[in-house]
Amino acid sequence: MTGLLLVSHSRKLVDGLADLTRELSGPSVPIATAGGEDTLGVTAAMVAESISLLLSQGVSGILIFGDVGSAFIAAETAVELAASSKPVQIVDAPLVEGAIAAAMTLSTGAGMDEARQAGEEAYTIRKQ
Amino acid sequence: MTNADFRQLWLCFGQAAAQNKEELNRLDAAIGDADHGTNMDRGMQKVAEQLTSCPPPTLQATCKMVAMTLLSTVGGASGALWGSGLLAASKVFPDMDSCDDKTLAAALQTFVSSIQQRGKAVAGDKTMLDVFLPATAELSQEVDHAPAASVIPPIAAEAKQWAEATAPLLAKRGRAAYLGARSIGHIDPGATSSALWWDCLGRVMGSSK
Repeated sequence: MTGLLLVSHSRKLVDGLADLTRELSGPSVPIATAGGEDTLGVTAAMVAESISLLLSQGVSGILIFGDVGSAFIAAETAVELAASSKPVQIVDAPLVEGAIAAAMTLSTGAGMDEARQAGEEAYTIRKQ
Repeated sequence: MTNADFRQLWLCFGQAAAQNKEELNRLDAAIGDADHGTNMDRGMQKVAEQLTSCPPPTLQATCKMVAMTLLSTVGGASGALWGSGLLAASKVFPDMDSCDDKTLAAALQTFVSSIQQRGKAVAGDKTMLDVFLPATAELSQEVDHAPAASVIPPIAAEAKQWAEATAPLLAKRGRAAYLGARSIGHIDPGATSSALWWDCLGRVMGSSK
């Protein structure tokens, strides 16, 4: 199963999003979070640690969703640091909608590529 | 450059980060989240601690240690950019006590290329690259004709002006980009800390002559 890694400057933001995503997708999708440990902010080391955590849980790949700006620079650096043999991809998607779309897609038994696409397509879903 | 010079460079930058912490925060408050000074200072004090308590034995090891320390202590784009740039540069530095001028220039060039690739910024985007790009371009050009010890100090002397020249620019990357035209008129904090680093490199190389 592909796992999701939610990266944010704020711990509350990703913890809350992880709760919401699990509620909607069910418990089968592995979800980890990174960022906002002591203060607001995210380092590459925090993201790398969460990548290792997911890999240790036996995921077949990881899709990373981030909030703004430097979360993506940290995530890219972390992917390089982790040097995982399993695919670890950063998704260009809105954090909340993208993570939910990807998790729900994975929960139907779909694979990594399909989940990634669902996350990216979340950009096009209008709210009103 | 020797490993001792390189160590001295980071200790100098640590002092500069501490002394300029409030100024960097003030610059960042105008176009970001007011923590660039605090972040750089926290990372550099950790680097200084490591350099003092267990100094790595080679240029490559020192560069790698600084990279990993910044990646784990400095949040935001600065930590990831300095860290990944230095990690790339550490592969260019030899696992020895010193390197020649061309290797130093190549390591700096790799540092800058890695930051460009990761941050996707170009010259004029109002970032740290507005100091690093002209500085490394001059260094690469001049290091073929003269020793780094005499080439670097005059380049370092220009760094502050390059940082100040970011004021009229429109931010294209990072948090400041959200401000659009309102970013104009403020000096970029990342370019300012980069100029402090060049000032230290200039001092260290100048005194190694």
